[in-house]
Amino acid sequence: MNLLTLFALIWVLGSLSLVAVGGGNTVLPELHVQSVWNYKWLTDGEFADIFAIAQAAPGPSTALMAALIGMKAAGWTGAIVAALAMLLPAAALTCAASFAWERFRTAPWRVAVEKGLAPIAMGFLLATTVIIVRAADHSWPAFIVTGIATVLLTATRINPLIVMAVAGLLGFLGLVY
Amino acid sequence: MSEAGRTNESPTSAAVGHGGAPRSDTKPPVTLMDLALTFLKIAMVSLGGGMSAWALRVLVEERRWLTEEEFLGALTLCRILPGANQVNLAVHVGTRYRGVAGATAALAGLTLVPLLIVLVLGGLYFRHHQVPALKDSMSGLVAAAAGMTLAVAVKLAGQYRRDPVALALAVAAFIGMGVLRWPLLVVLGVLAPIGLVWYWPRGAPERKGQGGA
Repeated sequence: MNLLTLFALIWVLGSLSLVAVGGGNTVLPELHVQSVWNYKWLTDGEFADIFAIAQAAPGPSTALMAALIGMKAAGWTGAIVAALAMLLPAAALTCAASFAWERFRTAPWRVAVEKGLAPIAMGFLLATTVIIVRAADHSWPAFIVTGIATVLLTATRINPLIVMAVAGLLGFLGLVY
Repeated sequence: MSEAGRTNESPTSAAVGHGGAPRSDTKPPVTLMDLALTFLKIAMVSLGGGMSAWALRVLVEERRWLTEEEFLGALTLCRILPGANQVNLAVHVGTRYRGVAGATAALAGLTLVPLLIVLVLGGLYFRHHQVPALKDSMSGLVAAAAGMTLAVAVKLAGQYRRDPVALALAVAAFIGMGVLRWPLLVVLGVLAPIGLVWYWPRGAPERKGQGGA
């Protein structure tokens, strides 16, 4: 296998890892440019397909996409190297930031940050929801599933896994599209 | 790892009998295995999306590792830092409890099984060039995951009923990000200073006993 390819994977994905501010999906366009146009690791169609696979699988989708790109470029070694290159730089930074965060647990600024940012984070969560609903629900059955799930999970103590399982089954049977 | 049996908190019954769990000083013992398994669970149950909502349910309601406020603070920290939010959240919680080893354990729990799944699928895909028939059967899950996130947002909003400033901040953040689609850093740049100044602890040394509300 080509050592240069591995270094290229580390370089491209490692640097993308550190600029992915605001969630992994923000680097998708750049990931596309680099892996399809610059390095020609995979075709346009393959990029779209592995995006779908990574979205459908559980877990952090950008790291999963990186692994699939690495797999196409350099086999299993490529997959592992690519996943680590995407995960580790950002993880190391978060780890360092978390040590600082814990260290200043009682500092006034830390208290202010936590209390002041919490409502903003809640607004973001709601915004994410709207974006998800808009992207996910293309049909009235999908809207109904979302609506019923919301009511059940807000008003009752039902285990969400049951809701997910029923909804997944409905989708599997082709009733949600 | 040898003390894996010490946490007897069963995920479902954690909600009872825990009244005011002592925060700060005495954290409950959290093993590396706990961290790995908890984040594995979060990764697997958030199949179809809604990871923040699932993380809140598992970390705050089931494990009681964080209060709602701590969770939201951590989530914001994880959004500001580069990288996928769920990865950052795992690393953050892991670091908080067990330092670098904890971060590694949480990260491994979150990613190893999903990586294995996706690489098997990828191997099949690159051989046959056909997307496994996953996508269609996912639509139901995705729609329910959206409901899961919405439900969490509704529950959290209830908590801020009596705090008009917090509500205003939340609404402004929602409009900035969800309606106007401004970049995260721009919205934060405008709203965070307001939140910081308003909630800067004044006078009294510390406002205690807020956690459980």
